[in-house]
Amino acid sequence: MKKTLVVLLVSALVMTLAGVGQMATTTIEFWTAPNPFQEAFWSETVKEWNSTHPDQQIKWQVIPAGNSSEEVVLTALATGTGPDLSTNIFTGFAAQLIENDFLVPFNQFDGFEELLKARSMENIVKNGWGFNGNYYVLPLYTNPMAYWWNKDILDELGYDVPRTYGDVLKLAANYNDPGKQKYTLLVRYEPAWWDRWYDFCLSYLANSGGKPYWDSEKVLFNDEHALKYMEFIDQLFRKKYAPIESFQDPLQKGIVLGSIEGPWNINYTKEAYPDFKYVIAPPLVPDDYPADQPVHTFADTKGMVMLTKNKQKQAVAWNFIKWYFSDIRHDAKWLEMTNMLPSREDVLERKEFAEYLSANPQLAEYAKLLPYSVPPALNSKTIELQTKLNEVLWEPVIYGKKTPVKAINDAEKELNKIIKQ
Amino acid sequence: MIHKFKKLKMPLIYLVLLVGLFLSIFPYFWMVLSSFKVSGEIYTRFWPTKLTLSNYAFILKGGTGQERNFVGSVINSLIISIIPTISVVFFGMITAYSLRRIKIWGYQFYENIIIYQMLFPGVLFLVPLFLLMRDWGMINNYSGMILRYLIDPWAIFIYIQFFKTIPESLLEAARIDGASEFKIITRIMLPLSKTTTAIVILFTFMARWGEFLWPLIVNKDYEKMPLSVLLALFTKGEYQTYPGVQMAGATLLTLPIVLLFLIFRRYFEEGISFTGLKG
Amino acid sequence: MVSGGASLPLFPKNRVSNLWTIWFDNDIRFICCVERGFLGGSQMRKNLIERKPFKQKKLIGYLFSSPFITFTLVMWIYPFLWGIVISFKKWNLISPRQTWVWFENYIGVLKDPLLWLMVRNSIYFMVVFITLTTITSLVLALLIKQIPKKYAGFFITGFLLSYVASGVAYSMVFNLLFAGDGLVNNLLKIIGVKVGWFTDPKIAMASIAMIVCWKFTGYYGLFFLAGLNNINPTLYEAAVIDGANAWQRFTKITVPLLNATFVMIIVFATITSFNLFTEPYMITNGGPMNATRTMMLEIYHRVFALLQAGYGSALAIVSAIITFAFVWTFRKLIEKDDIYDT
Repeated sequence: MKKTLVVLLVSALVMTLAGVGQMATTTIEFWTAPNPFQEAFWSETVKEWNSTHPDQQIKWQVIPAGNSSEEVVLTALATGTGPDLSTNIFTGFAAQLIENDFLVPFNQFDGFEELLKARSMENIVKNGWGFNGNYYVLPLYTNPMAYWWNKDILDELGYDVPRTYGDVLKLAANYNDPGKQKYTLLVRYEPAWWDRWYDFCLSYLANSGGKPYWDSEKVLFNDEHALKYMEFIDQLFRKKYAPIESFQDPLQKGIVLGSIEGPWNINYTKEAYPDFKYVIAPPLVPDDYPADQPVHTFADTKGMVMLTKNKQKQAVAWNFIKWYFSDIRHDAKWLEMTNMLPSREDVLERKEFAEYLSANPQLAEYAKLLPYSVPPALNSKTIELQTKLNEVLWEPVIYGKKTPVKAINDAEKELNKIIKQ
Repeated sequence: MIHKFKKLKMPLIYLVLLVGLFLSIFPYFWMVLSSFKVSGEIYTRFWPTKLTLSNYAFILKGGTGQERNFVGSVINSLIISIIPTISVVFFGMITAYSLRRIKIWGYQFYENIIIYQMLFPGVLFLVPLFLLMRDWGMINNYSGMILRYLIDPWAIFIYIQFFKTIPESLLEAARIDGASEFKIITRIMLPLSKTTTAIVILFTFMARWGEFLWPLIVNKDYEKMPLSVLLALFTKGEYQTYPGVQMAGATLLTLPIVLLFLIFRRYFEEGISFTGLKG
Repeated sequence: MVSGGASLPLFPKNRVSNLWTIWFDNDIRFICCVERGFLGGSQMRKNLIERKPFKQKKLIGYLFSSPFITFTLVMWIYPFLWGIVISFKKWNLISPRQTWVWFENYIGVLKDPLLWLMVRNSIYFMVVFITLTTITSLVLALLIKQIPKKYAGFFITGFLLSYVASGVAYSMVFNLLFAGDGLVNNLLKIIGVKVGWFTDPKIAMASIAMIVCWKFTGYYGLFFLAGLNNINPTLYEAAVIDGANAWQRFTKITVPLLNATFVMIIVFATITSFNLFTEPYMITNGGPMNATRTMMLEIYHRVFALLQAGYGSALAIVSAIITFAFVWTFRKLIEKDDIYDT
């Protein structure tokens, strides 16, 4: 009798709880970047949130992207099947989304300013992520790009890590031999628009001391900085110092001596090529660039945006954002799992990161570049611009169809046309 | 001299054919072999030093974090292949019957329309059909992926061609026996058109199974994604550096269709023997 | 006979009924034609004389054909017209604002140098693909014709295996096989050659044509085989008596009598060339130097990455017109009158 009563009571309680839970549960859709390491991170983090917030559930999925996640997010939004919250948004894409009125400004929520301070990202957000006085994006990570050089081969040859274009050409003259699959520098020729971030945009920033290559009004790159770089590229390809075939991991296999890489490749390299030794160095600069001056680099930086117009979902999304960004443990775990640097001003100071960085000296090298890292130039037509840049400047020079001067002039003209449209 | 050549002729023919056959099957062989290799050996070694199941384990586990369900995507592929296949056969048959055997008013006009439909490039319909699916709320669900393929003018066309050859007297006899038109289709036309139906099934299934562009556009939901799209995204995006895993996925995508083809091979060859393939 | 066949501009006119046409709206379109014989020509003619049907039967006929008619109206005519309407508009798919710009999109398409580059790419693909594939498949058919039937089936099945491969899977396989340090280049290294199959702008499109040819050889070989089987053997016997050598017999009898098959294959290969999507999407993404950019890729990019629905639709219509123009020209050039009936 007693037993039955207890069972009845318990089941009634469970049912009530379940009922309450069901009634009040709000589920939001959350999309993250298609990257194996980030995927593993969000899988755990979302699970943690969901288990502690039964009434505020997150349905998480990786952005189903083949070529570019921007394309997928846009199509999804066009069909009304977009996410409520998404990461992997860069500034230019955010601008495009804002133009189409998809994003929700964060500064309208309570606790926005406190959150910026709590995560130590006030300056970062206010100096690069503002749009007409509103803040629609919270940066997640900042990945400075840097050159990797094959240490063993350089040591064997008795060369220092190249600093300037001249150093590379000198090294190549003594080393390069395409017949034996010995190339000097990997320059990516893939036609994807974002690839131009890591070569042209990066080098322009390096040569010009961090000056933007364009803004929302017009193209700014038609000057000696771009010219010096493109002339270097032209030489590399004319002399076959850079391979034109596709290789899998050419740097790690010793097919090339140097290449531009992001910090996300550290883990992969450690796993797949445990014996490979490399030096991380800032971008190459022209020969007349003063040796004592710091070199700027491009930083791949992506943030989180809110897309839902539903108030209830906005509340859940904002709660999740506050929960995620205000707790430094999340950033520390992020750093460990993805090897990408959180967008915080105190990365080099906090002990939460210090231990991991000292255990991973390569990543620490990247962290040192943070003060000189520049995010993508702001323009809502970035994708279109870089597609065109590839078409009229990058590929014609690589394949020797245009002189660098002509290519740069053409690019300025064509890109300005797109901006003015 | 000529005599000598004659003697060599047959072995030579077989040799050329075998070399050709080798070239046409080799990529499959390499794909399957590579799917059992460790990643490091795919480029560097032809014969692996050891075989591994880790690539398959990797995709069955679904990558590194999200439950990326390959088994589920095989089921999705089956759903979006089997339903159109059945429907194409069914509607192909009844439409062809009504046009060719019943000869409804304006049947010639419809037959012309069918030929035009076969000729029109699909590219013209990509955007408007996408918008139609959007307006009907069929984005991210099976109906969006299936609907446009439920009826295929091509199938109607070949059924028309086949039904032309069946003597009317056969049908009249059935009608006198009191058979309904539907019964005539299922009891007489279907058994008679076994070879035609087999080829319609094979080709429709093949096209739907390998379909890429359309499901890529109308579905962004991992839970409903067919294998072809899941694999393409997997390969192009997240797992570019895992060639072994890619090959395991490609094997998974190829295997069912090859099996189906081998099962239906008999009909294919029968169809060819009709045309008088004699030694 | 399909009535009114003569009015069709693109299809071999007298042959529509003789061809078994298999058509898919897939990334690669394909058609299987097994000519003549299969359907039994004499029977067909007999069936033209039929009795008048009665009313109830007709009613059921309408019932049976109504799904098809509805489908045609909703999924075919309506989208077709809508597509034309969109091509005259400027619209980003999202905003409710759709402005009529009339021919602006078309002018944009025609003025874009990329269009002509894409046409050039397709022609390049077409030339390589048609040449390669007609040679390989014709040779295959000629060889299989020589061997006993019991082995023929085995070879046909074997060669058709490559045809059933889905675009995504075989693109992935060839991408690895032809990589810079892939198997093919490793073999070529022995003789000191290295080819950037998919990275050299001069040959990237040819490489894609080659792998598509890999897919289609067995299949087109089947067409040729069917064509060969329809040639009356007495023609060859007569030619031998007249003293014609093997080459003469080939050029004077085989090739002319295979005219219909050639026409079919070239028509389908042309359409394949202009509709290429999966292979370049998977392997080259349109590069290098836009050398493998096809109109399908560009339409996809315009509509779904840049949300330019109007421009994309205009490009789709232009691409359809260009395809038709090529098909029409080829038929004018190579199609001979029906030789069978003479």
